Amino acid sequence: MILDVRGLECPEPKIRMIQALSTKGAEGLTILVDSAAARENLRSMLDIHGYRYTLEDRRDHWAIALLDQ
Amino acid sequence: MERRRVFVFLLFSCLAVGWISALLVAHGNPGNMGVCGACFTRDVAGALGLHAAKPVQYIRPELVGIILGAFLAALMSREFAGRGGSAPLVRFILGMLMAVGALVFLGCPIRMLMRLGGGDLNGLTGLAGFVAGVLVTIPFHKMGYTLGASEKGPASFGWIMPILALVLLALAVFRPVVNEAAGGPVFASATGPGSMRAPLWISLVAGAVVGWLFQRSRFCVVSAARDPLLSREWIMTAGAVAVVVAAGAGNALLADNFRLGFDQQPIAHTDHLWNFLAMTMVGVAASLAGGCPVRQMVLAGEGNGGAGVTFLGMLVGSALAHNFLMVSSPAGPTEMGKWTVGVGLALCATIAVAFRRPRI
Repeated sequence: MILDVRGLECPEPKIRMIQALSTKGAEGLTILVDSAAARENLRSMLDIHGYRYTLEDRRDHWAIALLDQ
Repeated sequence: MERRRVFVFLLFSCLAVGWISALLVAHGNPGNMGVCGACFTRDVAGALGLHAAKPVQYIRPELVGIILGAFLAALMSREFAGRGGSAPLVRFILGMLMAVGALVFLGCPIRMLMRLGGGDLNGLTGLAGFVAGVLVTIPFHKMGYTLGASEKGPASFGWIMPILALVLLALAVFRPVVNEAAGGPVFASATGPGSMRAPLWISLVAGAVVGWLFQRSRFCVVSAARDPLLSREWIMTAGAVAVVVAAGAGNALLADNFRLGFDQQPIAHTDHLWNFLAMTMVGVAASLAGGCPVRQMVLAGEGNGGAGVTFLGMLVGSALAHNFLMVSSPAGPTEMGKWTVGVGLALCATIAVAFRRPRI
């Protein structure tokens, strides 16, 4: 599942990620984000809660892809 | 490891900002007003002649510094990006509401922390109201409240607010008096809080350091209030505590401005109910707008046009708040202030409900 939070302001990216994690789970979830603030906000929460992910720089945005836990 | 580094930097930033705030008070700023988004915006509105309250008119160089410091930090970290186009009119209104609420309490959320650091216990009622206001919005966010996505535009779009800040700086340095019969603009208070100011260059540099640190650390008082409940994160909350601790230490050591209690606090009143409700309104409006007043200035410096519009809303809101006698005095809130907080809370609730969109 792809969650596109590009252009959204705090706290929307995080709230949408929380909702996606709780309804669909982490497996196969990829989040597209285009501001450094939102990217770090999401990464902070993922790190603190022990999720593993890859971060890909796609020039005008980033893709955070969650790995199997 | 990276989390630890981020956390340490945030703590350092918050300690530094609390200390800088006390330093500015020691150099002449009003008590507990070394850093305050709403007060500085209100002073600038007065200096430009948008309101006629003589004691609170001054182009605060700190405000210019915060925007420019954030601008430089974003530019150097390649995070500067022109963006905008998401519900500007609603953001403008939310900016107005934030400013009015903050002027009924007498301080933005950052000054609320600075007031706590000065021993002003009225900050606690304000804090309770602010946290309540922020938390109340979480269900609305979850139910789909959104101002929509902004779009990245050309970088030049993001330069508007930094350039406006430079214009303000020029006005602060050269202090032209355009309408001599009226005595301004630019107006500058001879008495009152607007006349209490650290030297221009100290204010400017201090503001720039604050803007820089807040851009790099992304500190936001709204996050500090919301994160523990929303995502069980305490980083920002620890940062807010650090601001209070450093401001307290700075006030005691630098400014001789630490007095524990409710009464006789600098630029504050003791009406607990309206301190609570006014900051509830600020909490709701700030959460719906995506950040507290100082955070909006930092975002505006990063090129975020939505935050720029929110700031302009604060500028107009603070002027109207003075013109319509909504602003509290040390004696307490005004009738107009109370009515406005009531109406403002209803308006916030309307915005929170009206701007829901189904999620796909």
